[in-house]
Amino acid sequence: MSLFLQRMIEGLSNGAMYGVVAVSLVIIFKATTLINFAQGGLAMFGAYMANVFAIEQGLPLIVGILMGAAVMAVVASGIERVLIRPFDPSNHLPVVLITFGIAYILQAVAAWKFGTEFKSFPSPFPAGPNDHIEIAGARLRYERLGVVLVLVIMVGLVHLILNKTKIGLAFRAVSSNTESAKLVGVKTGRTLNFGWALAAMFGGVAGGLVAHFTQLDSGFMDKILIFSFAAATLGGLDSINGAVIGGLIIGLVESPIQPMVRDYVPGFHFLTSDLALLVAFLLILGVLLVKPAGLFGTTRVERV
Amino acid sequence: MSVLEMQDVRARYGQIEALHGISLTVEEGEVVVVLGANGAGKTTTLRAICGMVTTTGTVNLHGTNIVGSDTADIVRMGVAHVPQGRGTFPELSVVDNLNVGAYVRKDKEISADIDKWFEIFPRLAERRTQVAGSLSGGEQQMLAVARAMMSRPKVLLLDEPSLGLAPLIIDDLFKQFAQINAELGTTMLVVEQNANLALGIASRGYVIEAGEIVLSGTAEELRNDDGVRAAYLGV
Amino acid sequence: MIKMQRPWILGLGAVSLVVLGLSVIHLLNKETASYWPYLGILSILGLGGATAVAQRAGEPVLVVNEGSRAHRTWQTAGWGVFAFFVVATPYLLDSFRVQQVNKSMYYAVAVLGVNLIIGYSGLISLGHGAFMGVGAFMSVILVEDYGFKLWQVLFVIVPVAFVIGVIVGIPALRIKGLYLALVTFALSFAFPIILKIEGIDKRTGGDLGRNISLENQVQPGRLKGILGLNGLDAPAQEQIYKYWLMVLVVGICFLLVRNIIKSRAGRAIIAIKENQIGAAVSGVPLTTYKVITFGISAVFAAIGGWLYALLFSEANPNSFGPLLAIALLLALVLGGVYTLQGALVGSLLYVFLDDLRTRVTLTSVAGWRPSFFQIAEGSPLTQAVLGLALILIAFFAPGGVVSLARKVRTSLIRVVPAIPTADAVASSASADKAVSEPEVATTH
Repeated sequence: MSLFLQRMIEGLSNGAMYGVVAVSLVIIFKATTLINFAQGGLAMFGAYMANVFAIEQGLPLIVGILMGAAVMAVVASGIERVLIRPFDPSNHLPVVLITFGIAYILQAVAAWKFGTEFKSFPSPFPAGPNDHIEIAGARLRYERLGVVLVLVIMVGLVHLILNKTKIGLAFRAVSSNTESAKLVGVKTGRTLNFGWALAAMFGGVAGGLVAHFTQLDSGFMDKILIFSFAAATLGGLDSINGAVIGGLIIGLVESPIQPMVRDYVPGFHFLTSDLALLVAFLLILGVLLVKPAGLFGTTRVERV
Repeated sequence: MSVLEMQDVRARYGQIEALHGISLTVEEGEVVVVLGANGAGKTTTLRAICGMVTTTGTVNLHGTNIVGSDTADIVRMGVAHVPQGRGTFPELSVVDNLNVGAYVRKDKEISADIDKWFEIFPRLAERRTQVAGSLSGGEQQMLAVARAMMSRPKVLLLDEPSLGLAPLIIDDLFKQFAQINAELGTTMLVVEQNANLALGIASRGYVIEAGEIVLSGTAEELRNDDGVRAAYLGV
Repeated sequence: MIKMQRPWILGLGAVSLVVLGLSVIHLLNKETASYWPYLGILSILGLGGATAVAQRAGEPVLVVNEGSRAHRTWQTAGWGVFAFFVVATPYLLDSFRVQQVNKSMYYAVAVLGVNLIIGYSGLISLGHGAFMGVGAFMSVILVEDYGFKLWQVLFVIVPVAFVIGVIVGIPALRIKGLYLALVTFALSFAFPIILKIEGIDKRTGGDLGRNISLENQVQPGRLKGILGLNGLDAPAQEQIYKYWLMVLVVGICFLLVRNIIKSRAGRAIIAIKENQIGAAVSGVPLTTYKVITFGISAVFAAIGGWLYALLFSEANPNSFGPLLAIALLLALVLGGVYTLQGALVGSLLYVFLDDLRTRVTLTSVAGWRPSFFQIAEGSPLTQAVLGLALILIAFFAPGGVVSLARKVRTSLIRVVPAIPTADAVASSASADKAVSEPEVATTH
């Protein structure tokens, strides 16, 4: 039982990280129907920047992470203005190329500037060997609980921004009907810019948290990005709540569900953690066959 | 000075020119109608005013030429456009649609205005938290008009408001237009295929065919014109 | 009749083209201290300038009638140049570059498959790396464990890949657009993992992969003399022999795809992409065609995998995962999504950009030498070049390099199609041309 609880917190905290990155993907997708393939790279670079601010400059870690994320928000804003806005939003191909290109460039620059050796990265939460709470014999480490907490806070923030602020309203309007948004006086370019910056900010914070659990190197966000895509797909690409739930589900499949199946279900002892990924994707496939737009996504009915 | 004045306006979609130099005026407080068949260029006229198509020529809003301006800026200058097909925000609630309609405003009377429009359109009040996409055609049209009026525009552009609606609803709607014009003095430019209705609330009108204005006059003159009667009034 | 005006533009274009070709050839040598990069950039500017002037003038420089002697000369010259490059490459370039060309070839065949799906059917699939893996591993396993000869494996690969493609295609019917892309991407992730499962890894070699043992590998045979291989050392002989084998297979595959596209089935597929509902009401059985297209595209990807096994005599599960899926997509896009030649051009571009081992030191111009060009071998910045190329392509040539080249050509040279006579209509030569090259008509 204690093992189960522990694994569950692990799974939830992993899921929380996938969820946060998935939310940033959904933010951009909602407004533009584009997938930002550079999201992982932005998060990765944000973590490196946090490393520079916090480790090398000696600022407190949380400040470092936030500053790193803020830097990436500025970068993303620039990217949107210069590289994305010139393109007709209904033509996906050039923008896909550009986000891919940016992802490659970010990875290359990070490897070049910061070197390719792994670094370890601290957690903003107490992460010593004794920093945990005990429930029913399970050791729930602060660092993991902290991540879940951050997820809750960030999702709350997103909902707050989108539903209670003027720019959030503008953003939802642009996502819903871009042309009509112009007709009510919304500056769509600026609103999208805000969306990109917000998404990058999220990604940057996520990167700062994830880096503690893996190592800090130029590719550490790759796996997370894949899982986040999966999470967003599962939840529905235009649903923020869906992204969160999708992330949590995938995190839970990874742990504790997969180890449990491996240990307790006869015939499944070959199920490695890699295969957990496979299971997650089969799950997504199944969901999509039944609900082609994801669990919470909206299917656009097309009139013939 | 007229509220709206178009001089020799040409508009094109890509390489295809849809308006071949049209000119029209709308005076303050008027309801002016533009009649025309499908494809004649009615919608393009309104889009040209809003800067949504490539336009050359002059479009004077209160004397300022707005050709080449950004749509959002034109809206800020006091133009509201209800596009063809309503243009509501399907995922947003009714009340949010109205809120976003007031996007350009910074005053404190937005709530009061929302209440006012809910009084005028009680059907919308009943559905205030529903998403706009779930409303019927008539309700969406009401919402679109209310949304446009939320910005307290000086000029209201209506693109085929009767399209796809049941006759009773259309009657209701046009009564509302007349009332808005009478009580609030909002200048209106209405583009319609349904000449009967449109001429019923308008003071003046134009007829557009194949991207050119072919006829203009008072509503009475147009109603008595043989050509108009044959083509648009089915007489 | 030929009409030519402002012949100097054409001259500029021709000279630029030649200089560009020469600079590319020079830059392919690993170490060059030279002014060729400058010439290369100048030639690109020259081509761009010629195009711009021609477009500004609104008229092409040269107007030629289709089928006229001038047109035929132009076409023959074009094929001649192409043939020259095909024949000369293995003998003129160093072995590293020849290997890159070989790699491009198996990519090209796989990309043909991906193109069928994405370009001509409008379905997005990122799973074709997995189909390649199927082809590659079937080759290794059948040769090593079941005594097949490598060429015999083809007969098994084609039907098996088709069936697998069809099976994968069925769920693809229900899932649309972006979701399909993500699911197939997931497939590309899952594939290496499945191959490494305990039990299966006996056949696939697990994490280390599996080789084709020496006696089963492809060796230069009796054609050695014809191919001019005598006198070369063994590795070079093998490499060039494989080069020619691959050229043969690639050529056949391209011909096959072209015929498929031109056929009635091909037109149905394109019709489906252009307007699904219109196609349906015209009697095209949508489901069947979409699924069959998946199957056929899988076959080509699998043949690409077979070529992979031919070239490297080994297969490793890790090579056929998401990185490959992305590479195929990029190769397709770099070349041009709706074009056939794009498969080859894009593959060449991608393979070269991916491993940019050019250390070019520019001769200094008035004492100034830009340092960025010294991208050292193995530096992570080579990836940045690929990224930059993608961005440039997005801005200047989203239809791929081939569509850009076409734009340049059509602004300089216009071919007036022959007016179809009654017989010509029956053989519908021009109509097929229109069908086989559906370029996206977007105004940028």
